[in-house]
Amino acid sequence: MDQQHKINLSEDPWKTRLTLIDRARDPNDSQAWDEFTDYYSGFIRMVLIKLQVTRDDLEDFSQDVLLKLWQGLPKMEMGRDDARFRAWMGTVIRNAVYNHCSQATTRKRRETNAAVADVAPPDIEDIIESEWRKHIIALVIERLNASFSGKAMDVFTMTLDGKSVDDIASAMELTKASVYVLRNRVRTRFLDEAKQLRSQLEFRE
Amino acid sequence: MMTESNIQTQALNQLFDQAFDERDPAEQSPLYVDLRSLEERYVQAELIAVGGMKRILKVLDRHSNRHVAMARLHEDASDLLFDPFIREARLTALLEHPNVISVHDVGVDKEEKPYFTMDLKVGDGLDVVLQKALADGGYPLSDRLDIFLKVCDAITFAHSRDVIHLDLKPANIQVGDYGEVLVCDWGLGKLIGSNDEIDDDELLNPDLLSGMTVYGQVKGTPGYMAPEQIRGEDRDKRTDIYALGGLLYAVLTCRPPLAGDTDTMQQAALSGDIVPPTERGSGVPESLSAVVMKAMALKPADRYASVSDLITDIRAFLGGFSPVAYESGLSTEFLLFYRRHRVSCNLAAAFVAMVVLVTALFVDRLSAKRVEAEMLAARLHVEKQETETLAARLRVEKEETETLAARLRVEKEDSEALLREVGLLTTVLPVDLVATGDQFSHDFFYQLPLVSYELSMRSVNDMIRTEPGRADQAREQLAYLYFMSTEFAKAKPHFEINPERMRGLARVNEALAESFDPDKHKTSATQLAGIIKTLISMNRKVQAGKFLAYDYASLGYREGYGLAVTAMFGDHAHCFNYEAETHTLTINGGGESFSLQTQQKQYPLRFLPIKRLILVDTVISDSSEITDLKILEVADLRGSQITSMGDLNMFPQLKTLIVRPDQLSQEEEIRLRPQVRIE
Repeated sequence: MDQQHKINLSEDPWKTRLTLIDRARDPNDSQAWDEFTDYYSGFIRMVLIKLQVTRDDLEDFSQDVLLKLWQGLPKMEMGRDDARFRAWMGTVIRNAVYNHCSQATTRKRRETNAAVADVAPPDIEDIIESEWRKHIIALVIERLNASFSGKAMDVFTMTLDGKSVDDIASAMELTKASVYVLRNRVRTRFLDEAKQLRSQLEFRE
Repeated sequence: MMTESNIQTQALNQLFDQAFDERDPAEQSPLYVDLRSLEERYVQAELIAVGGMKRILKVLDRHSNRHVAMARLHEDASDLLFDPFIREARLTALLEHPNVISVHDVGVDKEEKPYFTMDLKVGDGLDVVLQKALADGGYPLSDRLDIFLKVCDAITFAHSRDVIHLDLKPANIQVGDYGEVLVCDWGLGKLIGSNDEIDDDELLNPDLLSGMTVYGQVKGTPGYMAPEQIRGEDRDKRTDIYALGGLLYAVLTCRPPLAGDTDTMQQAALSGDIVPPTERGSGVPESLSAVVMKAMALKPADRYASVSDLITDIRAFLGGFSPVAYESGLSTEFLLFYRRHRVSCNLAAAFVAMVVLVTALFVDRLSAKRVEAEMLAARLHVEKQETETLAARLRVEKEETETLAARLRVEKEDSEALLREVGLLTTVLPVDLVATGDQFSHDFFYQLPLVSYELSMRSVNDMIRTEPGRADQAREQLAYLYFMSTEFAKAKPHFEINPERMRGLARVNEALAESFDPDKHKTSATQLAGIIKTLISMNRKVQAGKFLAYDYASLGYREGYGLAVTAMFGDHAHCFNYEAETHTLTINGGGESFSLQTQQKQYPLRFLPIKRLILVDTVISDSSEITDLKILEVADLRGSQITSMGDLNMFPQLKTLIVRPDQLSQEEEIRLRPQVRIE
């Protein structure tokens, strides 16, 4: 298990080829769009839900945002930090939401002729930040689950819950040394995966 | 999946943030951090041995986290010993061999003193091992030789690197518990042909090695030190071979090659005064003793040229061959051959024994077979002779049979002639006759009983078939016929047809049917006589006559027939006496008058072969009474009234006639005399 995991790391395709973001800039790489959609659609959807976009509009809206991000990618300048990335992503989404809302408001005004409060959206950057974290963490956990035994993951989870090594050892019927080893292994892997995903998806060089 | 909690989310977010942080290696690799932080490598020093030049300490190597042996010079050792010390370390390090102790690290400590580390020896020195072997018999010779061979391997390797040890002795050989053998203490070793060696004199300088005598060591050890080494002359690989010889000596005998004080031993070594191992310990193989003596030869040129030659000889011994050094005889070679191939030899011997045994058995069996065959041949020979005798007898019998057949043919012709004579009669037989049971005249039956019987049987059967009305009569006849042919059982049912008429005969038949089986026995003369007597007593004289005639025709004359024949005469039977041996019939009439013929004019006496006739007190007056005695040779007529013999042709065999003097007439006498003797 452990051995395999290491091999997987060393063979990770992203290490040897262009990042997804890089590839998204290449108009000839058709596969990149699919991958981009895979990684971002869920996240964007969550952000939009947080922004109280109605379920009816969600599908169109997320497609709209994805497309804008996609189109915007080639114009992104390299060497930006993650804060800039999220800021840019926030701008794109906010603009999209505003456009959408104003269109909808205009429509509603036209239709109902009622005054609609200019609803100020919640702090969009915070939402993006928090959802992005959740998104990445979920992806990492998914990967960890694929490569670690249930026991190792249990130890890791219990550690996250703040349990002591002694407690974990007695609960899992493991030696303390084993608990240390398992905990550190999963933790290290978590950091590796998180670093990798973020490098790939956050325009990091 | 993980159940999210606040603490967890916080922890995960923390990890998210740490993704691009520098990681602390200590967290991942505490050992690395530990190793990196180590200041002092060797700790926990513990003195375990003191040698001539150096001390050996057991230390913990914190780098590799194990215990190793550390060699250090004595505290008060001169600086001039630094180089020889380092030289020993490097020399040993040069020899990477499983049987040479490994040097791990050579260095200089904080106090500017050189040191080197090496394998921490486990087990005992060979000297201790040999003492134990001597004391309690542990380590058998084969194990000790294995140890020795490993030492030889190490020295062979060293020699291949041009390194000579020069201080080989049991104490410098470490034996582990699992067969590990390490050659240690290469302190006196040197690289042949190199210039960096320090002159031995320098090493032996008492100023330099003030401690030498204190520690009780001399350079080299007597008994293992070659003469040229003692003399301080040139040393080469053969110096080590001498030491190996000494070592083998010790391995074989468990005692050092030389004993006594140093001077005595050195003297003995210089003069080559070595007691052969065979004289030092019991059970030392002579061949190996020879190997020792060759290796320890006084002149290097007389020793083995190389360690591998020495090894070859030892292996030869272990493999069951005789070493080159040992000039073995044929018997030794044979014994060694047997030891080498013990299983094969035993098998071969067993096989040969088996072959011999099987062959012996086979030969034995073969000779038994020959005897049997000879016996069989002899028996066959006898049988052949018997067969020939039999054949001869058969030939005779055949001739007799042919004669008989010829006679039968004649008789048959006679019969046919007779039949022809009576043929007409038969065809015209009146039916009435049949009813009386006398189809044929009695004469005819008496003459040809078998033929008559057959004809009667046929006509009776015909009658049963063609005239059912008279079947009862016919069956009555059948009863008579079966009775006559002694087929009493067959006759029985037919007798029952008319029980009244045939009561007596039926009863006789029944009795006979029960007691007599004609298929199994022929009627004996005695039985015949019984039957005839019975029939006569029943006044069935005709029946009796026919019975006798049929019996005579079918079975012929037999012993005791006289009784049967004379029974025919009923009350007068006692007057007849027939002696079969002499064919003599005596008739004693007792003055009574009776005829020799039956009422049917039958003449029963013709059934007896009578050659002599003696008539006593009879009233017989006519020779016709005796005319049917065809073979009569002697006739005593004195007891009769016969006066004339009538036609002599009736008695073709007659030779003697005994008469009373006046019995015959003159004319009769004259007529008879020419042909018979008259007494």
